[in-house]
Amino acid sequence: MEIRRSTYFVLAALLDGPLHGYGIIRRAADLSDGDVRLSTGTLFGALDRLVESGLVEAGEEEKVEGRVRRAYTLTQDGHAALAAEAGRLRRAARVVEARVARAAT
Amino acid sequence: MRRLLVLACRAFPREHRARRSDEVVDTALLVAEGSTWRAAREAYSLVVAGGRERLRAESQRPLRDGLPLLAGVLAVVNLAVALAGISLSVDPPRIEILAPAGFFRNLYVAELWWIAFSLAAVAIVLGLVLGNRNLAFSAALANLGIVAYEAFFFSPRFRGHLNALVYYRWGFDYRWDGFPVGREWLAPAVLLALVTACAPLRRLPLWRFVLALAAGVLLVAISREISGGYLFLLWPLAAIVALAMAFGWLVRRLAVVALGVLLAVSPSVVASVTTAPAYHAPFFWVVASGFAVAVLPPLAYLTRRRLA
Repeated sequence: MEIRRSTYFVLAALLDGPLHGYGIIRRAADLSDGDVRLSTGTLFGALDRLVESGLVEAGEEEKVEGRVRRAYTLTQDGHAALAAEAGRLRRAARVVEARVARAAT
Repeated sequence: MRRLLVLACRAFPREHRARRSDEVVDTALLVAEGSTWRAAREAYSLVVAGGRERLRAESQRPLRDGLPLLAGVLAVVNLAVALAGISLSVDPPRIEILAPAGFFRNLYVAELWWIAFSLAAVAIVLGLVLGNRNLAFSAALANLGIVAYEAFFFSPRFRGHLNALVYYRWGFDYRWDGFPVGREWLAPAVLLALVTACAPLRRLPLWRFVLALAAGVLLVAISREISGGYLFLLWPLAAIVALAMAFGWLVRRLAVVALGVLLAVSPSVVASVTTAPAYHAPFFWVVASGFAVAVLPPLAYLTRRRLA
């Protein structure tokens, strides 16, 4: 299963532990050096799909400082899917890097 | 800003948490960091995501969910026909200051038949909006009875209730201004009663009732601009069928509505083709062919999943 770039970074953001929506957006931006700036619509669209496919688990709603939020946790399946996607990207990058290096010599 | 984001969340389906909880709005407010421009950007992203979510939800809906939409469309058109009948010959009142006696020269008398038809039509719409099947179905049966009475007792003779309005002139000089319901409206009335009986109904906000009335009145306004009786319904119904042909594969409820509409008008098409004068026959055959082609895409959209 191929994972979109934004979804990849949503999953990656949850590797270090559960986060709420805004936390995921900030973490994804940090991990991608500011390259991936998730909008709220994209984030919740991705979370809906991930929760539905069992890659992410949504916690209970809570109110903190007057704001409603919910923590999202990566599941075992989510870990596996993320690792598989990282492997696929690594292999794809290796192919190109080898060819680029050969072309340079 | 919050209000803008709450409004944007209305793009999501009703059962989605973006509509049921403040989580999405609160997250968007944090992302906006107090900037109106960013809030607008977040609102746009929510509208896009909501639209996607709606499409996704649409594809998972059972076909039965198309029936309330079909009932709504037929009820609004039925209402428009009834109101158009009453209003056909009503002109803006003339104010004759110099000859006040002339003010009473033109009297418009709406027949009881049209009044009953209109009341039944309004009751159907109200029943559907309230999600009250007893009201909607009994009104649809009354509506069917009124239309059938017209079709079987008056239509062939082109008299009586065929006339929308009796337009009296002072003295004995009068003329009938006809608005034929005839037998053509029998099929939509039967279909409306059937659909009202089996559609899953739920209570809708009351503004939908006002919206339906406004849509009916709008159709009446169009009917007054385009002479030719029921021809005024041709364009809105054709628009529904065209929409279903274009988007029925995404929103299968539209395909249900289009098939229902085509079924409702099929007796008119058959009657037109079989009774057309020879010099009109080629035109009606083109209409009939177009009708047959229009049936195919919605039918294909509905059967695709069952075959797969």
